[in-house]
Amino acid sequence: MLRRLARLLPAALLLGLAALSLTPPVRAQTPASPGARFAFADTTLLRDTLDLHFDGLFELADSLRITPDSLRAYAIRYDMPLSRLVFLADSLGTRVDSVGTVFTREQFNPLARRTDRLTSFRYESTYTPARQSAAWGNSVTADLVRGPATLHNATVVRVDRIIGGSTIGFTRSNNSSTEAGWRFSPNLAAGGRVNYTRTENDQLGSKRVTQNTDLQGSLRGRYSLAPHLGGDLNFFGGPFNEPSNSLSSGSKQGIGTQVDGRLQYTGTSWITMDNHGTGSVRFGHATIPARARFPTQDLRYNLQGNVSMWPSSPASVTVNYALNGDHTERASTTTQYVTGPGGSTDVDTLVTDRLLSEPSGTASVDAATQSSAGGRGTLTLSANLSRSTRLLASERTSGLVLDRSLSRDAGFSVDGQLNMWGWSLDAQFNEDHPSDENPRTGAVSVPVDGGFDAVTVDYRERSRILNRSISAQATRALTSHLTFRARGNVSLTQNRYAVVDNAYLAETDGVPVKPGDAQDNYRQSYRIEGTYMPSSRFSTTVGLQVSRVTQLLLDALRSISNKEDRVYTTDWVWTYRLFAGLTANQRNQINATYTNNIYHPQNNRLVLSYSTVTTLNATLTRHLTADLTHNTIYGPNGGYAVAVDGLQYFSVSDATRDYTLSGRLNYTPTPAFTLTLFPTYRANEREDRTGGINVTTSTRAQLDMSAGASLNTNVTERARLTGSIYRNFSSRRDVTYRAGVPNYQPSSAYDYWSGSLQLSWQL
Amino acid sequence: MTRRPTPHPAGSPATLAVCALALLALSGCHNPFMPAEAQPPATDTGTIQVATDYATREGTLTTIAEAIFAKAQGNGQSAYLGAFADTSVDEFGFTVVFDPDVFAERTQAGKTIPIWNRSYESAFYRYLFTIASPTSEAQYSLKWTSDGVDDVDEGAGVATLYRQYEVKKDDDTIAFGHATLTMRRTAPTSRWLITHWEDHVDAAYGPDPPPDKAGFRSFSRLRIDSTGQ
Repeated sequence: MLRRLARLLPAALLLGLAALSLTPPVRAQTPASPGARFAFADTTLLRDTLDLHFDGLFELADSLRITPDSLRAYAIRYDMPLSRLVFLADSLGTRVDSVGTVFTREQFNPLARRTDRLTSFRYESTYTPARQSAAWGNSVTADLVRGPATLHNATVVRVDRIIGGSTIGFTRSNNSSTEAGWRFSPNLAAGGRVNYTRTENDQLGSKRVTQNTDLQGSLRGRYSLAPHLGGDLNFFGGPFNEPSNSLSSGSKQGIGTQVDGRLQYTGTSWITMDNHGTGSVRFGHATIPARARFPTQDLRYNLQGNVSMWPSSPASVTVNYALNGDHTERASTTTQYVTGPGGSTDVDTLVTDRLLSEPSGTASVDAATQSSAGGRGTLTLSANLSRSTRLLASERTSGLVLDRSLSRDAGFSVDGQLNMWGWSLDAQFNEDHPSDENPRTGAVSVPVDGGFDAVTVDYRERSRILNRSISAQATRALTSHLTFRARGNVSLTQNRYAVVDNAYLAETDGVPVKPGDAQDNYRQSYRIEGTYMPSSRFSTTVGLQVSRVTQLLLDALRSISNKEDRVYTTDWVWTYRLFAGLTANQRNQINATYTNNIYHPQNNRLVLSYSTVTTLNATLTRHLTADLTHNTIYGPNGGYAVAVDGLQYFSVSDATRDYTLSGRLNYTPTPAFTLTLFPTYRANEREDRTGGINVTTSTRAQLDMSAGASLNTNVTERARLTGSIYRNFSSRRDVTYRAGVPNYQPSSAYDYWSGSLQLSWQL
Repeated sequence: MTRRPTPHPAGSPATLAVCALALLALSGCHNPFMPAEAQPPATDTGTIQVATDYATREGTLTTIAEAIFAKAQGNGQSAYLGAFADTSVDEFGFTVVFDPDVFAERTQAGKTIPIWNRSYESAFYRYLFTIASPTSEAQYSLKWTSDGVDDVDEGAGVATLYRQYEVKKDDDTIAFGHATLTMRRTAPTSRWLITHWEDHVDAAYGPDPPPDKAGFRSFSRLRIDSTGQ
């Protein structure tokens, strides 16, 4: 009996790991995270001028598993507070980054209408000048709802002017999408839509026009299979006309249908399920003008979904999956180079028309489980598996070749958080094994008549990568004024390559091609820092970071370049509010990188860097603010020389000095109007000290200035003008020195307009 | 009035910590972050070990010259390739622009002009020692000469160098031309690497020198020929 149980042990372990290896729910965490973990969240983000606040940004981003800057960017892009964004993502059953896309798509859905009478019209005009381009866009959005009838139109016209050297190119694009629908019942609607696209490209006197008109009928429905189990199902269909997208590919016409749907289950508190997918089938023909015509059949599908179990319990489980495939056919003209008969050296070309099918597909599944213990700690285990294939046609001198690439990935991670005895602890472990197999082209030296001949061969190479990392962080408030934080991480990346076919050996007389260089990269670092904040007016932080980075090429032919860097960084940061309207802060950092060439210690190097950044933020009056930043970096570096005492001493070979002084002056007479001035002056100097004395080798001075205005005002009751416009100026002068004699390079200067102004008018 | 602490299941955080440690222990008792042992540099044939020096721009060019002298023996090839940026290791890549006249002449000759990469450069290095009736005793050398234009230090670890190059097999020239080299210093390792090689033929010899001047072919011509396409 025990033996039978022992046999089941590995399977049980695997099942246990699989059950533990799942991506956490997309739902946001409760805001009960202790403050200590996010004690260093930068509150300067709250200074944003868009009337959007980012309270709890870091906690929310952490729980959603996206980066804080991405979450902040979504909030700005969709013009929504964070809480609204997350609420909508939850209620729409979509990811935070897809809220805008779902909103746009639902504009066309008659079943999404909640009013019986609506008339709306919105016009926007945007002008965006830049140094080498300018864009002017106009868009109109109109909605009309009368009882069960709906009409929606969105039209965008955009002109881009691109300056390249002495020529000016234009791109004009018109897009119009109109959809009319009739709602038969709250769960069924039918309609039709017309999409019109026209693009004119005028570059270097060559004009290219592509135009496409899509006519589609639509049928939208909502269904319910059982209580709490239902979704929606939409059909679109009609003729399609796909213009040629390159000179060597054909256009396509035909008839096609597209279906998308969703199935959701929210019946019980312990399990929820959300699946959605799209698919399309098209029949038609592809045409290469005056050359060939082929019948085509296209199939595309995309399925994805997630199952969430016990979302409110201390141990939740989530499984996400995705499956997509693409079997699209296209006509293509290829050119093959062929030599003349009988070994003639004449080269001729053979032009061939073909119908190409390049199927591709991806399947992935990831799963996670999160356990929490009385609000004191959480443990998340997750795992992912994916596989994708792609067949790509590439044109070579021997003709068209179909190459298949294959990628796989498998990984897992463990993420724990713990709050205990005043400490806040975080730890993560990740392991990932991506691999891919791709076609490669390389050269092989083949012995010929006492010498060597280079033979170019095509072969397949498999790369396997291992990424493994562990990191931990501990934070504790030692007293009410003193906080201690320590963090460390270790990571290893291994790259291995192997040639996985041998068909090419016939061309090289059995001489194998050399695969990619196997290499290991190891990195470890730790940092300890303490912050002393006696009052809200003053705070100071001192930190020390020590890192070790090793790059190892394993092959004997490359290992001579192996080296190890040891990096020591210490910094001191302080902030002091001198007066109510004046705050000063400064960062001082010393950095030393010791490079040890493992097999060539005589080439060991030391790179030093001393930097100081000082910033003053002043509120001069209620309408006038000013910032001033001074940045200085001194960077000597060199090797080691043996002195008379036999010891090695650091010998500086060259040094750099970089200075930057930048300012910002804002005058805001009214909340709707701000005048801004940004001056920046940079000076750089390089010195050579190999001769034992300082010899300046080059200097540079650069002045950049931007001045402009920002607007955010109502022009009329229904019209609004927003955006900014700047005039930019830049001037630079370089001087190089030869034997101490300056050689003045011609100075360069340019100026241009930049910014974006938007006028919107709403009925 | 003292706030009463919220009760919590005793030992739960410790249990979680133990579970996490147990899971990590599943990976085995060896150090899972230990990198593999690298092979010591090749010293086969008892020949040349090129002392690489990429710390300065001139050091990198000298390393290339010494790698040519090594004739693909010892660490010659790795020393040569180490002078060119590698996107898999460095933050920059390596690109080559062929002389436009060579490009046109080779295209007209039915050759495929490759998009150059380090793999081609590796084969080109070996190819150099296969042209002009090579013998095992032949001595190869590369001489860099200033092209009469001052090098430009672009700042921020970027420099443009103007050089004339000449490769000789014993006393015979086998390659000759001019190069505008963009070199960049890698931030973490402070090595000066060639990131861009813009090649030019010498006006005296043109893109396709006559047979008696065949040794004055440029790197553009030899690089394209080395691919065998």
